[in-house]
Amino acid sequence: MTNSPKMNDSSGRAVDDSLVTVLGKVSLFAGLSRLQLVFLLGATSRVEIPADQLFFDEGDSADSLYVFVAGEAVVEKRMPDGWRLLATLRPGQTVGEMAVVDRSPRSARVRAVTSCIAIRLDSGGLESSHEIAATVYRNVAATITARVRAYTDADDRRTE
Amino acid sequence: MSTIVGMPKVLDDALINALSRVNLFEGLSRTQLIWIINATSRVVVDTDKLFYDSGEVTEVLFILITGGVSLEKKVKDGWKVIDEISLGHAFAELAFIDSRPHTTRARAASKSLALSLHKYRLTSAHDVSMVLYRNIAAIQSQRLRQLNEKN
Repeated sequence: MTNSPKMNDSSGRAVDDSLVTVLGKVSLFAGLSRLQLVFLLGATSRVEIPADQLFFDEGDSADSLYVFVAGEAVVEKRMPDGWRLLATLRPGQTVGEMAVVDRSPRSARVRAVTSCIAIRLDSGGLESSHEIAATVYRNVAATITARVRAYTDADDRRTE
Repeated sequence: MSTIVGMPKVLDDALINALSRVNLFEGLSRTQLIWIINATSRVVVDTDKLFYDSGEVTEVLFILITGGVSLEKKVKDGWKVIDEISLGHAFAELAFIDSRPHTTRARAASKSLALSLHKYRLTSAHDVSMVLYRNIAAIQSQRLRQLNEKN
């Protein structure tokens, strides 16, 4: 019996199939083939953050997004009376996609609640393939557009 | 009623220079801008006529070259202007991205000329579509940040 051939990513590392499967379920990467996901994985770095440490702080400069692989983290924004919880992040979810396109400082912090593992993707790595980047940026635009529409739809309901 | 004029036969330097100043096309080379011009149609719309109506589904991005365009939303007693498009600016980018029906109509406030770019044209040019989608995402991202701050 022969073993199935092992694939290497764009950096020549052996591919972790479970990570490719995680990426395949992320809405930002919808429309990418398995081969493109393998290539994309090679442009990422693995990040491990202990419990109660920060992935990034509010106001930090930014040009990367994170895909959560394991653990739980929270998105928090500074308010006059402390930190307000905006969202809880679990495996398969992403954070920081707006920073990849507009390079604005982080508008909130992301703190690990438990020990976390995530994949970090910056715009330079993403744009090493124009075809992959075009698909991902289109998905980022669709995600942001949906949030903009949610605001404008709510405005419409208020004025009706 | 809009009129499709067709692709330009001769590349117009003034048009290329104008497009190079549009934030949507920031980062595109001169060659890529020429590709954009060749991939678009020119649409002329007479005063008070529509580029598109509310509820209509289009997958076209418009860039206003001459004239003026009002984006209007239907309200109880008629139409309310919610935005006016400046020369060189794009409109219809939300529907271009998500293919949902327009929630506004785009009315020519004066006789207007726009370039129209259909989404399918981008599938053959990954370098251009990468920059264009990134810029659309960045513009919408700034808009979302402003909405977040207001709310």
